[in-house]
Amino acid sequence: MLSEQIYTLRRKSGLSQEQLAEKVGVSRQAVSKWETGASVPELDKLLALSEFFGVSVEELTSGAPARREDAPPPRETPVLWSRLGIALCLAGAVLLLLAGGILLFAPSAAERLDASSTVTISGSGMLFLLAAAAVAAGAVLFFRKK
Amino acid sequence: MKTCKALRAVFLTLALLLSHTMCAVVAYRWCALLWCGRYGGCSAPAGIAFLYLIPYGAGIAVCLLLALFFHKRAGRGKGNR
Repeated sequence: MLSEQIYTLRRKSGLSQEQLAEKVGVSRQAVSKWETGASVPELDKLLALSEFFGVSVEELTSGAPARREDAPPPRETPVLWSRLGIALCLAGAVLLLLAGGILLFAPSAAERLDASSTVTISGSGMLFLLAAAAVAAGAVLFFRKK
Repeated sequence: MKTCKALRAVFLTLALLLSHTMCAVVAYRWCALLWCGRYGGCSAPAGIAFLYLIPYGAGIAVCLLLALFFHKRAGRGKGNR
């Protein structure tokens, strides 16, 4: 884990083993051994590495994805958006069923809905549009690139 | 995985219900518009009823896509065990 982290961070920084060794104050062979896992850096060298790469010692040793301090913070978890997408799809589909049910089983209610609308599209048409929009928005939220 | 299976079943059921409702609504509107055109003085052609295919078609497509997604996810979970 630590060896991989050192290798990855060095490559990301665009440094050679010699250059990193010079920055940390060790020999090139020492850096090579750290990267192959043949040996581990001492505590003071570990601190020097973490300071140089801008990551915490924990990040360096745990193998968690290393992140530079100046890098943007991780994005909000997409799970919430996925759940919202599923909920919107469900709501839209149920609304479509409801609109169809009203139209088929209570035409008088649909007529009242149509009479109540003040826009050119009829009230029941608005209901269908709203349902389709909810389904589409839900699908976009769910299937968007995470 | 239980959630995935439940969601798959829910979306498949919704797609089935939507397809049935779509047929009923389009047929109903077709008849209503045809009657209105002949005896009620409406000028809109009966074919306008097919506009109802758009929201229902979108709903069915999305429900089927989601059902497929959860079906795959449930299958993947089974394979990982």
